[in-house]
Amino acid sequence: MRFADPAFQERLQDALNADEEFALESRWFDGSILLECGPERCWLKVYRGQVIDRLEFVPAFGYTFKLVGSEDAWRLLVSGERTFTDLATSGSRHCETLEQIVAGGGGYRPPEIGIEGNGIEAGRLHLAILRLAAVLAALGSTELAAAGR
Amino acid sequence: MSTEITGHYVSIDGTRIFYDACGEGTPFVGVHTAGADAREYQYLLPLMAERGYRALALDLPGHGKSYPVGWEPHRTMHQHAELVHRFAQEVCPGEKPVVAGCSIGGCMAFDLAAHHSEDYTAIVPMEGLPDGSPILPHPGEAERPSWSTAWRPFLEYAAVESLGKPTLADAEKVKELWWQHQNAQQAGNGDIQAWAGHDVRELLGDVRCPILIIKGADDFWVPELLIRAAAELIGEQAEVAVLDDIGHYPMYEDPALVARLIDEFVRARAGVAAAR
Repeated sequence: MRFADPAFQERLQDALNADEEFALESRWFDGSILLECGPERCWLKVYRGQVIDRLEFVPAFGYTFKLVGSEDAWRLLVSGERTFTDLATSGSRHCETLEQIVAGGGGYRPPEIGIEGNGIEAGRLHLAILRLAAVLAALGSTELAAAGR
Repeated sequence: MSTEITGHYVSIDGTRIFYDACGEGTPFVGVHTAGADAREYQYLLPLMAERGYRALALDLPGHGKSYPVGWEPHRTMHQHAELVHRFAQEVCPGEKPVVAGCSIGGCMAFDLAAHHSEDYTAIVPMEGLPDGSPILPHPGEAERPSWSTAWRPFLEYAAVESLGKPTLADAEKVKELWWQHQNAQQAGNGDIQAWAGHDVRELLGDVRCPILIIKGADDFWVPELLIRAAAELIGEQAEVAVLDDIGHYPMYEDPALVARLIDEFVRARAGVAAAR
């Protein structure tokens, strides 16, 4: 995901601000959400249901919570191969052998997309996060299609 | 033959347990998923009744119209399974029901296979496992709303997202399933604690009734690898059906297919000639 690309950030901000459910779920949120993929970052300031600012770096006062995953994890979301809940939930559900399940920690295998930071706020914003994931997936798949991939 | 669903109550373990009933014949008992209730079986029950079954589906304690036992949620699968067993004995005295459960109901079905298989005509675990621990972490630390603001929406949407792709594309069916999961916090968290702490693998070597294990190919919660491993533990009594385009809720997503699979399996493997 090209999180740091200003054009992508603009499209993401516009899409989130046009998403009725995201606006409703984040109506009483005054904080920031960081999206992270390797070195790429997209910091979103959300206030009363709208993304009111964005940056390609983390400001000195940090973020409320972040969604962090590898390039491959975000690709799985964008391609529709995995759902966000699957990617963001711990557990060994995609192993090829019983030995891999045990070696990876069974139900405690870390998720492909982590939700880190203020977990209470992230929990309260769970449905907004699901909408954010859906908007990201839609934007990402449009980009993939435009790139002929 | 009436295929109207009627609601009933029976007292089990000192609490009033609600159940839906439809039809006459060989008893069939359906057990719902985590945080949900008997409404998940509302489409399957009439189809089982048409095939000659007395089709029943209960609300587990703390779910739907059934109060919890002693005002505490069940937190182990064996607690749930033993209550289902006592329900079957009380409501179907002297008979050997077919019991089917989905998700945590599927785990209960494995628990019943481990402990009471001689009392059932056939057992049908759908989307369940004899050992739930590999799938997700134990959620005891998220039991109270103040401990985890995410638990309730997580469970509600974890349910919805695991539907098969055709059902997931049907907004009305998605919303209906979401409304069926409104016991997600107080009861649903105990259900998932039960899932994560459940392991009856060592007790599956002497199962005495046929077991039909159903898995939806689109579901991400229950890996086929573990379904096959469970069938191997049971041996020749077990048969596995992996259903294309179906997710975590086979009896809700394609009730006609599930009714046919169960009926054909029961007739072929248990020799039951259900009255028509």
